[in-house]
Amino acid sequence: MNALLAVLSFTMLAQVVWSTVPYACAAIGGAWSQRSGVLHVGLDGLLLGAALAAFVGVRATGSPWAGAVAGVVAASALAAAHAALILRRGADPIVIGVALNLVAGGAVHVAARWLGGATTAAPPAGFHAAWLAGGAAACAAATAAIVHHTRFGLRLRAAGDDPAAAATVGIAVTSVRAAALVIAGAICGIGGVALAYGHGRLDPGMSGGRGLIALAVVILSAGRPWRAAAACLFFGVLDALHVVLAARGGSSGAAAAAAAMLPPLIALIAFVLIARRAGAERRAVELGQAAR
Amino acid sequence: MMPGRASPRFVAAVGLSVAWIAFDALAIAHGQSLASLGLFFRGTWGTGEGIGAVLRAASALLLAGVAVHVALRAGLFNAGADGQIAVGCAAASAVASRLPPAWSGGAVLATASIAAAAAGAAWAAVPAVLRVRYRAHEAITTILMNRVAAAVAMAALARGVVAPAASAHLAPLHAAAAGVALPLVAIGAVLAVASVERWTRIGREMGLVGMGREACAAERIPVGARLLQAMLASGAIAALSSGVIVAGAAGPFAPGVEPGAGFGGIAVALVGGGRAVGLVLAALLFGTLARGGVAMGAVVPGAMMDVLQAVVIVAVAFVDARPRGALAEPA
Repeated sequence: MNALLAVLSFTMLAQVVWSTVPYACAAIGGAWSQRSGVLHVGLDGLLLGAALAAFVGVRATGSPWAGAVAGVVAASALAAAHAALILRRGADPIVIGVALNLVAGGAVHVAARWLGGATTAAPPAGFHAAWLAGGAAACAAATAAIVHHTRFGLRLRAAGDDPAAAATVGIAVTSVRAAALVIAGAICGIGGVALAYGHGRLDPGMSGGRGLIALAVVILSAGRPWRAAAACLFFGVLDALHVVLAARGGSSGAAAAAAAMLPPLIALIAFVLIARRAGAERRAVELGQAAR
Repeated sequence: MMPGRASPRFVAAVGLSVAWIAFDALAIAHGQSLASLGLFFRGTWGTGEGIGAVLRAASALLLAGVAVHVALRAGLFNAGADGQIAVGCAAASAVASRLPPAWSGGAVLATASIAAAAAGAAWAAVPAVLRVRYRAHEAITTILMNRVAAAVAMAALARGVVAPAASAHLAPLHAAAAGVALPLVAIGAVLAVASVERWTRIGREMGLVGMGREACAAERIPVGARLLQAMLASGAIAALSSGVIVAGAAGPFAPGVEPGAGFGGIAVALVGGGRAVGLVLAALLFGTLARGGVAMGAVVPGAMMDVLQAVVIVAVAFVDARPRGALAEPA
């Protein structure tokens, strides 16, 4: 009964918001990237980079808003570097994405030592989770509107669906993709800020693979921002349940492990279920080829 | 991922030198003067103990690197070596601690290695099937499986399925395993993979599948089967190191016995450029740097290695990039 009360409390609601925003922002950013035709494995790196910059920003200025701006700028800068490497130079997007995660994780690790371990400023006074949630919702709305109802959105989808055909009709595929990646970075930045303020302490495992789960969600929702954000709410609730119930104590190591493996397991199962429903015909062709 | 335009030798040279320069830069940034490179030398190639430590780290990296390479050659990106190593450790530990005490060290080692390899292959089978049957990108699913593996290993430890400490009868094997068995297993894996790739039909077809799936399907090569086999082999090879480590040197089970070996394997495979010699050299270099970082008492050796590997991965991917304008395929 007490556990039920804890789950239905205001703390739980706040925790849901803090947990969902990083997922949702990574997913909306991932949707931009996915729609432009780039598989973005580095979303975790963007979240971590933004979280680190937000921490440093708060530390340096004392203002949570400065931290938020620093986070968004840092993630955009990382995204621009990522875009330059894979689009201008033609480096492998998956390899670079993995490297981005490693760089950001390592940087957070090193910075955590330099800044003296727990650098808690979070959630900073006078800064509400609702603002970040509002930001995320605004991003989802803007993404849906831009991708589906503007000329730029049409070019973006064309670049993603068939780059060769898009290039033939005069769309600058590389530029469109670069723009999409930087926008994705900025949106991920909001998620990273939420991660930093919600987590309250700098630690390399703080993204907890949320970026990757978000990427899975993006692929499964075919890059539709609202659907992706809604799926992220589910994962956010799952995380929040874990946090709230663990804070009540009595959670054994095995229970914590079970809770930790739930999000990736659900994502893996979703891959199977959705592929089953959507691609039966296409899969039959693949299998026919494999059997020959 | 596909072979780029730069020659493997050039790629390896760039990767190795960038690794060395980046290591020095990181060491200096951490307040380590160049004078403390003496400390580095004594911790790595200067003493017998140091050489053993380097060889052990390099062997674990080499096995992970070969594993990543086997998948990469077939056009698959196995980012899940860490998870495969973790379940391999858990399986090896669970099996080794239940063997009769009368067994000799070699038999324990062999059994533990087989258990580890089987667990690693089983772990890799999930992304492999998801890829071949459901078209889920293996770069995503392997990393998802890493998180599940870490949780499974944690739960196994909490439940006592896995022995928290080495059984007493494994002790005599310590020195032997640390010094000899792991490098031997690693070199054996390199040679085995190289000869399978060169001399067998399956091995050659895996490489062809990596170059062009459609063409292979048209030539009646069983593409799906080759992809599955490559991924299973990759998982088994990655986990092989944990069998030896658990049965020998490290003894007590801890999730992630060689932390970061999985992603280190990506760096080794990319720098090695798909050649046996390249893989061995790259593993030796990264192993030396890892141990050297520890010996120098660097503030955060683990994180330093992550950054270092990432820098090398970016440098190699940069040099080995496909011509500009190549359009990445969506998932």
